[in-house]
Amino acid sequence: MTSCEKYAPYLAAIADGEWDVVPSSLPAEMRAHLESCAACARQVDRLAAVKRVYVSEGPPPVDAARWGQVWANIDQQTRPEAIPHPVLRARNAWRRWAAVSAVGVAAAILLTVWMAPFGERQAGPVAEAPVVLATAADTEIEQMEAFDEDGTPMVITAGQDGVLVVWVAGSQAEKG
Amino acid sequence: MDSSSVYEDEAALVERAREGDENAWRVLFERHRDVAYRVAWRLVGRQEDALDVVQDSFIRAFQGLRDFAGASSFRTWLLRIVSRRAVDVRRSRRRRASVSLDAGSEDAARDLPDGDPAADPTSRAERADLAGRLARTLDELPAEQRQAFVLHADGGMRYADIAEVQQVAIGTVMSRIYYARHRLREMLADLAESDGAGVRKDVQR
Repeated sequence: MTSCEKYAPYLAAIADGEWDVVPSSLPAEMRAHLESCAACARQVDRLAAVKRVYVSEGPPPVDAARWGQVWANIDQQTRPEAIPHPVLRARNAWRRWAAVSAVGVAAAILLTVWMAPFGERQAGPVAEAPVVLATAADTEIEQMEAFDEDGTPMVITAGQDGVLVVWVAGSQAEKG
Repeated sequence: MDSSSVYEDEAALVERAREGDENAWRVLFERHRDVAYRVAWRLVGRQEDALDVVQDSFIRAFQGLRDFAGASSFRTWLLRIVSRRAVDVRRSRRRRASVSLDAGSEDAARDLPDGDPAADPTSRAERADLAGRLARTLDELPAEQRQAFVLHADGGMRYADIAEVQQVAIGTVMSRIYYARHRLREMLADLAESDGAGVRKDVQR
């Protein structure tokens, strides 16, 4: 086998700068060969040119309005109510909470809400683990909305002595 | 900014997205939509199908972020989803075509680049011819070769990442990309010879 035949399988990879593919015993030897072998060097150039021509023919452009539609569809289908996942549910709650957080600035809070059944509520748990809905150094919650796995809305408000009051339609349960 | 800081930035962005930060989702979409579209379009051929693939892939990626271990980049992970969705689209389209009377619908429906409107008609025709031949050659490749080459040439993925996506040895990826490119080169060489004007000499035999 000549050197050219020996190196031929790697020439396209070399044209792509993928020297990692070449067995560790070969790179130095190959570099020396490519410097002296015009035929192999030309082959590398041609293989690189094929990719350049290919890449130059791209897809039809997409205008901003169409991308906007695509994003709107993605956003709609990944909204918290569309995804049965506690962290993603918290996404919407965080946004609403952020809107009301400016109202009060007082003590540092670390809010961990166990989305297990509250009080007399019989619905199953939304999350298997505690969900940290928000942490902040100098804000306090005045009111926050959340949802259970059926999409039932609940409102969490701050009660007295650090008690969180969870309001669900037709009931009230507290968790300290 | 060097590549490592770009990666850190991306890792931080993905982490914020995992925590449900809407802005991070939007930034990830805007950062990767073009490459996702380019890969999808190469694999499915039609612009609207490609945009559907992009949309569906981002939805799946965002919904599955908690399963994303970060062992590969977000782009590699996304393009893996894109290429799988594209395979599904091609498969369902083939099924539809097999029951359609319009046997040529698959080929005729491929969207080609609009081309430069300022170019003269001959040049536009040549570009359309080139684009059509590239598309047909790509379509005729075995699926694994087509996917490997597109992920590399359009997705900018390294051979090692493609090996991970295709779950094969890196040497197999090298062979797949080599044969795909070899076939494209043959086609381009034929085109250059038939042109007679010596265009694309750099790919001639």
